[in-house]
Amino acid sequence: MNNDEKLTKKVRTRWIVFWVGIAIILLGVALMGFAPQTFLQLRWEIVFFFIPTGWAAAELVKLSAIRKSPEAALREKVQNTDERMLSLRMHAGNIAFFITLALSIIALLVYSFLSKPQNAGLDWTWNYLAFMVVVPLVVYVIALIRYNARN
Amino acid sequence: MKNRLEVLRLQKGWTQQELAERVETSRQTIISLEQRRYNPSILLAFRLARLFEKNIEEIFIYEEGSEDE
Repeated sequence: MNNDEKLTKKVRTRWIVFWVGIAIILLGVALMGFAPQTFLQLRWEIVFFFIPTGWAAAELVKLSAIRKSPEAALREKVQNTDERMLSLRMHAGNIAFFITLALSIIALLVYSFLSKPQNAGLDWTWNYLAFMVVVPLVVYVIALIRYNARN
Repeated sequence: MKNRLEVLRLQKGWTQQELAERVETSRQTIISLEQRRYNPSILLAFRLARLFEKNIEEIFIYEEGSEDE
């Protein structure tokens, strides 16, 4: 598959994501008006449809610029391979990771203090918050060990 | 770390963009290198050295304590 075919395939998938998102948003708005009790509430729509639609729209703008100008394609390639840019992204990602982890720990602590222990059934919120704290740390440690062994 | 990148680039009559394209990096990286805000990887240092037909040490001058910059 050459670069043109890859680009065409990328554009086609972004358009599909974009239009599916738009259709579901419109359906959700219509259902909110005619049948407010349906499961398709605004929060669900934001999480599952607005984010992919926004992503697809941003990608389409970028891909359109790449298609129109070879300079934009080169800039895009450089942006994705430039060592300084990669290093900055990793640094920013590292900071964002620890801030997210700290916020998750705070949320878990606050929720643990404020909520009453449930004797019957699982407290899904508490479990999810604990999951949010433990899993990224485990992934972080495993990644460190693996990279350390490889490099 | 000091470097002679700007001097060498101007000797060749290249813009920062032209130099960036020749070593497949971004103009911002060239600017950061010239302003000594960024130290290149060994690979980029080699690419620059090959381009200017110099040894790495003729372009980049390591000084004790320059990691703190």
